[in-house]
Amino acid sequence: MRTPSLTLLLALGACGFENLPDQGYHAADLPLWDPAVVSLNDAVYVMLPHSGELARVHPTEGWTLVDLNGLTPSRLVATPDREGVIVFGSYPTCTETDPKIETIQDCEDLDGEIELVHEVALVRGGAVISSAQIAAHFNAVSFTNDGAQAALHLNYDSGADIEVTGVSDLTQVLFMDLDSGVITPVAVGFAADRILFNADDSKAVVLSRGEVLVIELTSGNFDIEVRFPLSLDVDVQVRPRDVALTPDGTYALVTVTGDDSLYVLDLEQESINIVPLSAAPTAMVVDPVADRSLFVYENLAVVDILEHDLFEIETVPLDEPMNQIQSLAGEALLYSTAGRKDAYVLELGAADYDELRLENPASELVLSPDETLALAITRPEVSGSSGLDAWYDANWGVEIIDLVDRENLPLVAESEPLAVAFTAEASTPTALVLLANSTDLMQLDLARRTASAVELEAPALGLDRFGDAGFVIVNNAQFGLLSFLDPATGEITAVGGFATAGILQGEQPLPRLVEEE
Amino acid sequence: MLCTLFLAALGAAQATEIAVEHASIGATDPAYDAIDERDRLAGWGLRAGYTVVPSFTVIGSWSMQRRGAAYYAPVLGDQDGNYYDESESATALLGHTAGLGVKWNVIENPWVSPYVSAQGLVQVGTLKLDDDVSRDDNLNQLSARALAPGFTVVGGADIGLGLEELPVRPMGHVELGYGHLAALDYGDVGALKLRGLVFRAGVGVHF
Repeated sequence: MRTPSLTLLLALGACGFENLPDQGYHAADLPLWDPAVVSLNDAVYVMLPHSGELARVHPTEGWTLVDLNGLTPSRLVATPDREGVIVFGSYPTCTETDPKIETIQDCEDLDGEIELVHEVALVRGGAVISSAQIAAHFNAVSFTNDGAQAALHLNYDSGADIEVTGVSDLTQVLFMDLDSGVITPVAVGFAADRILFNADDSKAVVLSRGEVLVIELTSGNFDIEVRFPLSLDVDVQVRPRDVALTPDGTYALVTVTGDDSLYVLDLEQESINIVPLSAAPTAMVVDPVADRSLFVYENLAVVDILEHDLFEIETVPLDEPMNQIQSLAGEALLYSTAGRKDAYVLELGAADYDELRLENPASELVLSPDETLALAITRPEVSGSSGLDAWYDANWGVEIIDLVDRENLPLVAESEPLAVAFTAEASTPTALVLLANSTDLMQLDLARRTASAVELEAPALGLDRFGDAGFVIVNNAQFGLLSFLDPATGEITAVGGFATAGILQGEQPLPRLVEEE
Repeated sequence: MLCTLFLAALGAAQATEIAVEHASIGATDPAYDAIDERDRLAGWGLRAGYTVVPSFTVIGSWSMQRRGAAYYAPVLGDQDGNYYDESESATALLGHTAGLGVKWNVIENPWVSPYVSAQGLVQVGTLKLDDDVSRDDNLNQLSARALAPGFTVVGGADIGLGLEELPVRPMGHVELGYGHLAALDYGDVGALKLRGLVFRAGVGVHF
């Protein structure tokens, strides 16, 4: 009698996943992982908010944790060469210095207070190359064209509250050497929020509240060469909206919020020329091939073309206002994400265009690598039509735009397309389309106009490039799931479970005790 | 001579006990909250003993634990950082504890025999994680096993019904004490430290 009972007990203890015990529930305070992953050439990096870790995920090597010396990452930015990632984060310290204090609980028990120290770290190949303490408010990065330097600054447009530790200096920008990780602070004026670099990376153009600065980068001293005030009246606050450099790097073009003036800053002669535009622009693009700049307007159906010799404007009327520009090397694709259905392929030299009509308004548009095709994600719209038109209006779609033949093909999607991307196979142009709440990744053969599906382990949340020609699909799975796609073979390698790191979270240690700091 | 005396004592004291018991050990480690928000790991098992000399019994025990919870965490829904609803997953710990030690009955009594006991333990814990319990073939069905040594020191009592004359006597036992296990280390997933109050109670027979 005893033997069968024992066998039954042992069998219950060794059960699989069909019959897991469930005697209650546990709710974690923070997400286990952040789907805003950063895909580099060597691996994909994922923040794990619950455990405060950074995971490195590779299709064949699996996942490992990056040793950040206790730094809890809060923001990741890939370097331009996709070989490194800049990690913004913080770690807790205790105001009391009792040697018995090893955990956050110890600190609180001994009447100490927890303070966060903010730090930025440069990670390459899964290891920290360098790190430095920074003020809490730095949240944005701009890179030089050669990717050798990064400028860390505050982007107030991100909408986040500015976190202040002690007294924060909002006039500083930090220049970071991406080889050595050495950081140099430079005072550049109040609330610098946009930084550009000229073609040879010898100068940085910094937009701050009411002025534009040019900083030389060659000497290593980061000296301010010239300071352009955008207003001579201290009571008048001029807030730059956008900035671009002309292809030769001689001029900086600055648009201003709510103003139809274009500030043309001569970086060599140190002079300012103000060019009147048709209105306050919503988008600006500099085309290096045509050596012209384009401006479009939210509520004005024109495009302004600015040539860079005499800075004269040619205004081209359109049928509908456009608010987005994609540069096509001598041409430009104008479209709207504000509900308009026109799109224009504009020849900059001739100031002439071909007009296309999308079936539904675009919400996003992606160009193929050779710029012969574009894919627009189109969204449902309120329809005044009936029949098939009304049905189409009610659905999400993907529209293939042939930029050579100047024609477009609308496709209906079963759900919201989350992301579209082109594969690098030039011989058979193929696009990938991720659909919301679907475990199918759609592959569109753009030459044959056919579609096929690759099945995913779980519904997708996002898509990014990985390695030379591959892709990584971010899947919706609690314990973390990434699917690596080889578009040449259609093979998918899924790696999951990385978000379980630290799921058994004991007492939280203070990662860097006083004597280590 | 010594050997003869030992064998004589052994023969005189020979007795065996077998019991089914409920056993629990403290689990105040916050890491255990992901599996069970109660602060103890409890299970059922068997205890067997063999009295080698009067009042001294070699004790062996085994118990099995099955604890688990539905695990909720907020999910960051897309690459723009929008929050989706919470999703449900499951966490579970399937444990086996084996022990070997001694029990000393301080007073032999047909009704209540108080004792002290110490056991060395080995805990094997299998952690199971599943983030989609509705699917049998979910890729994120994860399993990890860890082993930890430990010990218990308890005081308790064997409880009889005064039926000393019977060759097979029903008995019960209750004991309370302290237990300490080394951390069950699951690598990057974390570690579980099971230690604290130990409580065991069981029913069985002596013969």
